[in-house]
Amino acid sequence: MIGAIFKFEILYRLRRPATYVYAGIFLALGLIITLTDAIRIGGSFGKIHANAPYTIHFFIMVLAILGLFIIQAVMSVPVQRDWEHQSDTFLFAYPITKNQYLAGRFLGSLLVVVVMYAFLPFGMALGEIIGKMKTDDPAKYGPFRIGAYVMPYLVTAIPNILLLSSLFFSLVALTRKVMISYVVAISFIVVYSISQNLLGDLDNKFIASLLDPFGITASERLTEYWTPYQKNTELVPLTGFLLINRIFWLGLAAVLTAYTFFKFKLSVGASGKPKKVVEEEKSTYKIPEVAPKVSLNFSTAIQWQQLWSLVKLEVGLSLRNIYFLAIGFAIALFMVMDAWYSDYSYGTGIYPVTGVIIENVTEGNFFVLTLALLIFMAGEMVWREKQFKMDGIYDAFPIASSTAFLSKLLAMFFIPALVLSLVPVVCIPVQLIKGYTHIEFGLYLKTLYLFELPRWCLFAAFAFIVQNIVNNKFQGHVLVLLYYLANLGFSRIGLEHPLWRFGSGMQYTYSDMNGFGDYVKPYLSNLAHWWLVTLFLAGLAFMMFHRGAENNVKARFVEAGRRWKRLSGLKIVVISALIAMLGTGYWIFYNTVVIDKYMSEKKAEKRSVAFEKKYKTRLDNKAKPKFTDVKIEADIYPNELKLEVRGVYTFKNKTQESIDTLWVYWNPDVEEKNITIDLPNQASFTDDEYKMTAYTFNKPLQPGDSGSISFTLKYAHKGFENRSRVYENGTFFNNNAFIGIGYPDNYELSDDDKRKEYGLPEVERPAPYTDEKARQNHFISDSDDYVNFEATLSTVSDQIAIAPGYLQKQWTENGRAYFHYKMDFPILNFVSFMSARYAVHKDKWNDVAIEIYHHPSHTFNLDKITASIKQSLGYYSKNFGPYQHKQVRILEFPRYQSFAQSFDNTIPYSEAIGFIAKLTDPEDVDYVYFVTAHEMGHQWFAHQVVPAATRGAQFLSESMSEYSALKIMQEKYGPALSGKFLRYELNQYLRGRSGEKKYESTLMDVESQSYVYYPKGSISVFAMQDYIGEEAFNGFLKRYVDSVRFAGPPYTVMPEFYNQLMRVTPDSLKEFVDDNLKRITIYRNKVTEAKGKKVGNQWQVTMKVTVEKVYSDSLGKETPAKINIPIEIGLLAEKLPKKADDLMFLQKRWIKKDDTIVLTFNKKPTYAGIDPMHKLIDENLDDNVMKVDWE
Amino acid sequence: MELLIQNLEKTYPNGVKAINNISLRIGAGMFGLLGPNGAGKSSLMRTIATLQNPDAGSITFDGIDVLSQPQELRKRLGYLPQEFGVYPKITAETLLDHLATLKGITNPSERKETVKYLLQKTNLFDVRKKNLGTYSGGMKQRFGIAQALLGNPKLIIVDEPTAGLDPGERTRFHNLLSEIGEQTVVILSTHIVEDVTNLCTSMAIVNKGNLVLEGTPAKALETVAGKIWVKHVDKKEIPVIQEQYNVLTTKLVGGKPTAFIFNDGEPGDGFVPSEGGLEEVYFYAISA
Repeated sequence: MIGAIFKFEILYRLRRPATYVYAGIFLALGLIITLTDAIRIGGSFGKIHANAPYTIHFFIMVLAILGLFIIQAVMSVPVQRDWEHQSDTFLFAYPITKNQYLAGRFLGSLLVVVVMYAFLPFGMALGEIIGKMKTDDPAKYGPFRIGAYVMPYLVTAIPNILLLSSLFFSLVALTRKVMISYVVAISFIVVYSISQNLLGDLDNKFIASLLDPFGITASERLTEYWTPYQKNTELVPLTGFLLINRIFWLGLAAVLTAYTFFKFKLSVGASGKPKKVVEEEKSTYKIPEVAPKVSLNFSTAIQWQQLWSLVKLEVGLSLRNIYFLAIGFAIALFMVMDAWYSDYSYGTGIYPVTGVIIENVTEGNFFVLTLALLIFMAGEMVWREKQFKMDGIYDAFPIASSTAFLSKLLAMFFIPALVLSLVPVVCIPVQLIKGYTHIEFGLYLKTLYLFELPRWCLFAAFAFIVQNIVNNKFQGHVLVLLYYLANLGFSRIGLEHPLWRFGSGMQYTYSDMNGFGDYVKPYLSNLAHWWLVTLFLAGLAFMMFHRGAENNVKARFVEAGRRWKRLSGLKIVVISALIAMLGTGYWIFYNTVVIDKYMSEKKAEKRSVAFEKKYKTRLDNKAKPKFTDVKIEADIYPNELKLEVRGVYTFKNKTQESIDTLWVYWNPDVEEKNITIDLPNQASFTDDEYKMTAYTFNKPLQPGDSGSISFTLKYAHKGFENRSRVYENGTFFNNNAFIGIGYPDNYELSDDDKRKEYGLPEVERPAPYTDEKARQNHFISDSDDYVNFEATLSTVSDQIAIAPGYLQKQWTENGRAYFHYKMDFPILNFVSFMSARYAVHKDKWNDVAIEIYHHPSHTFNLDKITASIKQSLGYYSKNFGPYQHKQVRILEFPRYQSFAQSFDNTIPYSEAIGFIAKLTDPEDVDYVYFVTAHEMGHQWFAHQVVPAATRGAQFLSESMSEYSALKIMQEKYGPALSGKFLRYELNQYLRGRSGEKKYESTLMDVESQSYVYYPKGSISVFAMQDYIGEEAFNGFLKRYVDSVRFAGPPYTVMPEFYNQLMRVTPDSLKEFVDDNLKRITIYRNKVTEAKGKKVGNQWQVTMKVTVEKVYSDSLGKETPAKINIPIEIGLLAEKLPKKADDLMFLQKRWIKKDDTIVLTFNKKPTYAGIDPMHKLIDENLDDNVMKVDWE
Repeated sequence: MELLIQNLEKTYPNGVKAINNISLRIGAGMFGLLGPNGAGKSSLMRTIATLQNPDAGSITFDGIDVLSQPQELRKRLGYLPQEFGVYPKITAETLLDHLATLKGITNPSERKETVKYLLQKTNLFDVRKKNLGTYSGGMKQRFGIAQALLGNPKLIIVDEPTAGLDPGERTRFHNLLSEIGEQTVVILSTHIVEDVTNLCTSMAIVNKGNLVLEGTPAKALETVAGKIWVKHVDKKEIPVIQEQYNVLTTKLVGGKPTAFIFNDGEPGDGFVPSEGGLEEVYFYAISA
């Protein structure tokens, strides 16, 4: 009997077209993944093969989220079906047992799902085979491995299928409510997202891995530090977190399934509650003899009353709809989660300011779910009467069709209004719980109801319109969904301009400093346009609005024609909306294409390629003069969003060649320009496309000759995009806005995969440090060495304008504020210009003035920043040499960009990172202190030590600044906390190298690999300092800084640093320095056992440790290496030491590969470990320390 | 007050001819529309109720051209479709009140009164605060009747209204209809002949889209008077008899299979005369 039910179930599935659709989706996805580059996850490009086992594993795993819905669709119905079709009434009367029935149904459906899902790896394998035949790039694929497909299918897909299938099957069988399977499906995705959020925190990784029902988070955890080599060659093993995760969830599934078999009853409607039927009460009432009189009223005014009654009803019914409840529940959950994590940004704590929290909860999850909600609800709204078979009654009622249509449309608008109203309900309590009390109610209202709601109503209307036109609920859903999916791919078929995409062009970012800024104009223009489009489409949809019993296309068109003829209002709406939308469409076109010169991505790429092919060989690395003096006058007009710059650049031929032509280029956003050179010349050639002019000197510029370029540049905000460089409040631009000479390499394509497509060689690597010619230029620019700098800025009278240098004079003229700055010695031509309504916080360190220019309400961290500046000035002056300026200025700028940057005596700092940073948890890395110290470090390492434009330059600038900041943190928070920083940096480094696409460099040769020059740099320099000794190391640094201060050309390169370092390095540590600077060295140190006992008054700990060291090549292929240093062992009071007392004992010892160490101490330690402070780069951060097992 | 149907035609896209040149004149009072399943009754009713358009022909009610002014008819119409549902998660009172607004009863106190009256009339007053989803089939049917009576319609079309009602409810419903039927045109579509016998002042029988009989029940009975004969038969005999006679129906009478035949003269063969009711008229009409 079980066989018969099993067979029936399979045959049923085989007859369903959906089965083939699902299998087809899997097959197609598989093919797309390995055959094309359309979908990329897990860094599956660059040096990582398209068929890397790691990549295949992740695709099969991540697609479990899509699989979730397919499994839900298949597995929720087997029992439900019998119940719904009421076949249970006779089926359950057959001689079958409950277990036979359940097992047959379950196994039948399960087999079908398992086979459907197998089409995914099958499609991928097929894609690989076809791809290999088609491709002309042999490096794209690795060898074919059947295991790479089979293993993840068995390890990830099958367990997921089992888990989800048993869950959906059981819950629906037990409750007889399909609704519950939707709730579970959504909850799973929520749980998965939460686990992903948790993964970001180093200390939550176990919980995070366990929590994710799909095992994706566990897999990520397992492979987070995998190198490209590992990704290409190794199968993701079923061990560690992944194994625990799989056991946990499958165990849960097994228990639930067993419970279902036990609990399920084979009787009609038995498992669920019987359908409630109201008992009719026999009561004694008197029916009036005569029917009460009524008067009927059909005036126009009454239509509004009818409309209101209808809207109320539609809304009321929507609120009770299962899709609304299920998806609404998910939206609320995600909103709470996103709000909760809003005080976390870029891995650091911030204040949940209103603008940020609103942005967080209305993006991403919210966007996708609300869109889904609207798609579903449009179907419900349009098909409600049909679904409940109420249409026969409803359609014969004396309501105008337009009233019926409008009521449903208005009810659609209610849905986003309601969902958006949840935002303050969720966010304000979260803000208060987090201790943030500056609640901006006005901003909530403005953002949610003026910006978000009108936009969401468009999406609501769109789904509704499609439902009406398509006239089939399911097709309507699919069509809208497909439209949004196709939207993502529109750019690939040339439909990239926002005008092609319904409801687009309405992005905005709110900044506390600049408010909604210059987003308002494009926002409103697009909003008006899409509303008109919607109105027009709604008119058409109304014509097709279905009423009555006839549903065929012909009848609907006949009816549409009748409505068109009879309703003059309809004609007016449709025709005027059409005309108006052509107008707004043209307005958008005019602004974006005519004024803003809109360019598709593809076109921009081609333009770059053409530029490079045309000019690179002609101009790059050709002799050119260098600037010696920079004089700028900049008039900033914040209200008009205009900028006028007048500048004089003096240049000098510092080469040994005579120069006959000077190529001058200017920023393409410039509206008007005038450039003159004071030497007799001919403007021999101008390229308007790429904005450059060649000036040929009448008499070639001889070595040592000087001249000057004068220029006037005008910027203005004309179209939608603000290209003026000016904001109403918070202007920030640098000298890139002016002119340049020679070859403007910023036009070049920087993505190597793209370059390959266009037949260009890979991006040129920086020169090796042995290249003497390259040493003639510093790492920022090849157009200047050090320049005399002077600037006069003018702005509106309530703003302060700032440039590097010292304020010479400040005055007001014609109602505008003027500021004249001058630097007292030559600096790099790397200068910033800012203007905003600032409050200024002033302080002093010795003779150095400290000034913080900030948004008046952003006072949270002023003291912290000041303290960090003071401490930096103290430590750096003492250890690296004097500070070169008499002033330090920090300046806040709007959160459109989030970085801090160090210019001479001037440090712009984004609103997003430092100024709203929140550091209440003392265990968090105090990154405001850290970032400030880092930027201060650059005043030495970048502005005093100016590296040459060769490999390793970023070490001398970034790694050294990072090290400087680390020393400040150590000084401030004590040695115990440095372990925490290093642990954090180590995680960054290991993750960074795992995501490497091309090759990992050593520190000595570091190029653009930021994960090498930031985290690895700080760990390595810190470790060298620790091993060599702080005094000796900083002594060397001071001598080195002294020897190269303001030097160049030739500028300093890594060998100078290295050779001087070697002089203070004892022979025993020379290999260690090389391990850090010249090699990629990875340790695998761990403690495997820690036992303790009391011996007399002493506490004795015996621990077993293993140490291992490997050298890695640039792709992660490893070779074993010898341990050449003593390694630290320690006894701790805390696993992660926080205060000095927690670090009880620390000592460097020579350790054999497998070693047993006995330590005796006068206090009782709780933990023991090897390299507990993470001074060495160790691949596993969690096995260095172990709890001592006391006798 | 009169509903006038002239030369109505309707063919569905699948080729089924649902209404074939039907003309009817229906005055105030109860009008019974009889016919087997699929005869075209519901198509005819839906067309009158403005839910679909005929291919040809015209319908006028009280001077209103229904096809060009459907909205005008709807203001005067009460319609209970054969199969219908209601929003499950809303109470009877709320929905009826809402529907009353749509019907044009915009005066709140009048609306309240009429809702109360109809709920009482249909015996739903005590359960008016319950969600309609919890109603039994009979209760739902009564709710359907209540909504059809909203706003004192001049034309009431009820399609198989008593299906699912128990005998007591059925009687109550019949009484309700006959009360109204005096000043109103009521079209009752049914396949239960007894309903027509009990209630209707005039009637029609349709079959396969055609109007096969029209008139008062009494007039209809004349067509079979004296021509119906019955006989208890053995099951095996039935095919033989069907060969020989125009058998209208065979059914069990007192537990024995009994054949009813239409024959102009005395058939002999053991057949005895029967009085013949509307049921026999009906079978005779649709067998022709």
